Amino acid sequence: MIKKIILTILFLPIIFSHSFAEEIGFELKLEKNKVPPGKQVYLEAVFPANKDISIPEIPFIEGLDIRYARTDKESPAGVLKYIYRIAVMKEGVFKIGPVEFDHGGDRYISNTVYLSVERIELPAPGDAGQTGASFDISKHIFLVLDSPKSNVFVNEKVPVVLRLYSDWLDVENIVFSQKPRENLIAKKFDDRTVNTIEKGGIKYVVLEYRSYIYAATPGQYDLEPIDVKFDVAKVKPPSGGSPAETLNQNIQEYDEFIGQGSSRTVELSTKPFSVTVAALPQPEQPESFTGAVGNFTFNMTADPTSVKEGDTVGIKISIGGEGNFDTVGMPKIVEVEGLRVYEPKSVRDKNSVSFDLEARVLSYDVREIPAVTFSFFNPDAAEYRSITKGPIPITIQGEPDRKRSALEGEAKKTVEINIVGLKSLPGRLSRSNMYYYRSKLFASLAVFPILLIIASLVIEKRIKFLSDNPDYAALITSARKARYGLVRSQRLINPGDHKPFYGAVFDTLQQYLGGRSLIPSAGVTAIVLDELSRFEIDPEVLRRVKNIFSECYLARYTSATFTKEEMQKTMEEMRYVINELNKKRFCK
Amino acid sequence: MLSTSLIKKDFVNKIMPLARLSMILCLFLFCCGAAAADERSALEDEFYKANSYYEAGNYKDAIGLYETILASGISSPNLHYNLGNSYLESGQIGSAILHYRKAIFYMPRDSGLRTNYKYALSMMKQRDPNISMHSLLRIVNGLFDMMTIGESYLLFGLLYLAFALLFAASRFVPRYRLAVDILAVFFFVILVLTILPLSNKINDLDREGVIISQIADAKIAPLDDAASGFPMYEGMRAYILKKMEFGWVKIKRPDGKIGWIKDKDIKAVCE
Repeated sequence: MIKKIILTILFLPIIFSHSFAEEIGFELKLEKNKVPPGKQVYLEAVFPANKDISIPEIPFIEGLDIRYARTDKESPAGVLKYIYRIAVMKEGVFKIGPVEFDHGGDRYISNTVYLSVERIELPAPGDAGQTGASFDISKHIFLVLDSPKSNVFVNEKVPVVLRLYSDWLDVENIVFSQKPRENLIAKKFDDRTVNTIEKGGIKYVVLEYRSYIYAATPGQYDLEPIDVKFDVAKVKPPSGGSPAETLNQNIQEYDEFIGQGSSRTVELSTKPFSVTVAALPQPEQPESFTGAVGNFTFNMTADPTSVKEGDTVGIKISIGGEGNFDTVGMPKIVEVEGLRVYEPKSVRDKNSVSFDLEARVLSYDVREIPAVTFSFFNPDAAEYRSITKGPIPITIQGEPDRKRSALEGEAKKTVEINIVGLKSLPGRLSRSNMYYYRSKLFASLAVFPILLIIASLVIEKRIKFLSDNPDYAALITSARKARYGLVRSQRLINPGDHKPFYGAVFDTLQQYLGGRSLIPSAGVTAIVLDELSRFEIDPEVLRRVKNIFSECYLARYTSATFTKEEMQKTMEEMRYVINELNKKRFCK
Repeated sequence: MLSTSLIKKDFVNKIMPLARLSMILCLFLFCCGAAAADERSALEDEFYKANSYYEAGNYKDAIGLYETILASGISSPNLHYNLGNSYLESGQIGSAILHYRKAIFYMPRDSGLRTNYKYALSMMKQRDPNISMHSLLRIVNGLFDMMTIGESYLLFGLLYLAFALLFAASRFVPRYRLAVDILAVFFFVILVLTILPLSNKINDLDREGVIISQIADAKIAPLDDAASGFPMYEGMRAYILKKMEFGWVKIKRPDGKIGWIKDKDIKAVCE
């Protein structure tokens, strides 16, 4: 009984999960339903709900290489699009889907789409006359990628030939684009030849580009199709009325294809290309092997072969033949006492590599340049081969003075021993890696001189501006002085002694008005205030200024007494008039 | 009288906790200082002991002791110099050059250090490739080679400040503006001339490494079976461009050649 209950509890979630699982449909959409082999086409997987669905795997279909390309983020809200790139490799009609997968307890099922791959045949004689809408440029200009090898070894050179066939002479501005692939070195197509052939009664100009690739590690490499972009231009009629030069009688078709402009850009892609790279056999690898793969020749020369002690001998190591010269390294030279070999300079071209190096003879005992062995892997024979050159005998001129040599040897030994001795004190011991220049605080110090320069420029500009605008300068200066005057006057409010307060008020107002109207401050009195009316000052403000001045005269030169409230009121009045006058421009 | 004593008592009550705290802090700082002094003294003892090993020709033990001091996170130019000497005497040219390079950053004008460093270079199987350089740049570089990083920064900072001050001053002395401007331009030219050697020096300090193995095979890719690019011999300098987690280091030789070597073959001058 207990067993049954446990089993029921265990299976219950599974039963329920199946009963609640939903079947959700999603759509597969092809960019085009018909493509030629070697071209690529995009496939979209469109999900109705923008859920967190992982990228579904499209089942393998022979003849098609389907790979996830990207997710469409710009699709309308609520729709999730995964886009796949399909490289078509053979003819036929391919059925894609239904694609099924489970996600989050639901089952997703797609529709089925059909992709038709049809070969573009070379136009038969007489077909070249097709015009107008039926003119298919890919039947007239097409690409052929060719390589003699698809199974190679690591570092083995794989020659690649790209041929552009065109039944039209004026094809220009050809640009190649090829996506890089990790650990696969692909050289640029730069070796170009031009031929003309006739096929099926049609003349073709064939532009042939040669390059090569090689892989640094073993594995299966799928090369992305190479995109070739070029312009098909209209025939330029030669001067003198002679007929235009063309390959075939198809000017009219091309004129219609190119349309209004002088040329039309066309983009074609090659077929995908795969290469299988095998590892080099390890057990029998010679010690002197440095990565050269091919069928090479090897030579070594030395010049001069008769030298004095201390002179240098030039050694030239040349490697020729066929193979990948990019990976040919300098063969190792065995160390010989008394002969110091320096770093070589290498010169590489497509079919050879040479190393020029110097060896300094440091001893009379040196009798030869040692033998050098160059090992390489021959991919055709699938075996390692080694070529040894040398030793090259050399003659050291002059009789060695054995006694002198012995003394020099002693001296050398003494030098070796007598390097400058130890530091007896440890010096300032500090924490390692305390590099203050790496601190941000230190780097921020660099800002200060820049700030100084900026400040000087700003001040200079300000000074120039103020000298060009005396009215504004007077306003600033007078307003600043007035602020100090107001503070000073406020401090001097004292009911017992009103004279200092009114004296300060008078000075403040006099200096302010003098500064603003650019007349000497001492000349500003209640009597001359009418002069200020020419600055279009509000009469009410002027009246209040006059009142303040009158109060000041009264307080300073009569025995009248003033209360604290009266002094406070004068202060308020002065604040008001200065505020009002600050808003006004005093233009002469 | 009573009120005075109450005030005093109140004052003492207020002050006492602060005084206690200050005393504890002083005691703590004193203890820290004493501990640091003790540690320093112990390291100094190790240093003298290592020196005596060296003098006795026991270079292996001397290296061990010097390296122990370095492993504690403490270093000094003299320590690197002595370690360089020990490595040189024991025939490890690469490690000797590495420690001389470290010492040179702190005491570039030390004649003993220069002599031993030159001697270590002469012992190299293969010297660093020569780089062609404009003679003016060579002179300025040579000048900076004779200065520590701090002195180089000080010179640069002074030139920079002098230029900024002169530039600022020329705005406000219209009468002497031309003369001040000429002086500012002069300082600016010198400033520009010092930028490259200074950046080279910082670059050296940040990225320079020295080959410590007898020979390191620089490969074209970080793979054991990748083709060999060029050999690097013991003591040769290289810039460390990238360190991979799986034991490969991307290096650049002073002449621009780039390759991958194992991280055990190279050590950074400033780790």
